[in-house]
Amino acid sequence: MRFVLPLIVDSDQFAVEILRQIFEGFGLPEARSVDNVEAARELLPDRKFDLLVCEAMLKDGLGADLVRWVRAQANPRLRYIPIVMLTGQVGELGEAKEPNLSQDEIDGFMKPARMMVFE
Amino acid sequence: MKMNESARVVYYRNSLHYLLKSQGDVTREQALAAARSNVEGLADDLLPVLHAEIDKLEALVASAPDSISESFIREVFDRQSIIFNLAGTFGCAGLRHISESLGDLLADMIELDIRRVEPIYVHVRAARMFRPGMPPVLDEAQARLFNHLASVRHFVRSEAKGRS
Repeated sequence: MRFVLPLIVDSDQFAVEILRQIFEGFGLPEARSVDNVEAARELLPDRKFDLLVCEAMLKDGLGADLVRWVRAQANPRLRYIPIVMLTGQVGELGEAKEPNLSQDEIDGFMKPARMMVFE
Repeated sequence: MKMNESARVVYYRNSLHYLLKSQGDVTREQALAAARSNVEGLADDLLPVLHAEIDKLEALVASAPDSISESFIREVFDRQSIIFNLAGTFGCAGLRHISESLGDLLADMIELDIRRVEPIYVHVRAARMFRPGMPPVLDEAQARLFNHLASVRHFVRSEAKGRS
């Protein structure tokens, strides 16, 4: 599975390192990372990523904004990329506050990222 | 790619889909064990970071003015996010619960334009008790503390809503 390339979008460098170690354990040593929405928008069209893992709250916008941008792209490889969104923010009932996106658009999970998220 | 217009469902297969269907060199259990081992291997490096982030949070709150700005709340958010993630990753359940409560409080404070530092301060003091290496807190005392933090959040919300 060495040619599968994930992109991690998270401004928390420690969260990124934990995700990298999870991917490396799964046999994916080449995960790339950026810390903001704008950098992700620049990088995604130029590289053939197979998976997007995105924090819901980023410094320059919401992860939901990035998901909407990805899903509006013409290139099908980018438009239909699998997306996992991670968030540490939940409401009283344990429902994710962000992103306000449908189940069809993404898979959303509570932080911290655990191995089972990527099964 | 297949499309079902009535259901608006799109099936698009990339290399990840094909690889998930193919045979690998390792079993699922071996892959999970390797990932778990890699993350556990970070503990020596990242547990000191957890202590340092709690120290930074305490110093930040200690220096807070009576009325705090949204940028201050977002600075606390940055610290809280790191503490929450590391505490959850390395099994610090009490600290994870408190940092989660703090995160919900901060989100409410931004949403409802609340500028008081006291509710944050209560959470930061509670976090101190649950640092890694501290003596364990009795279950009953822990439950009372968590209920107290929930009451603080509810009070802050209801006070702000009563004001508007």
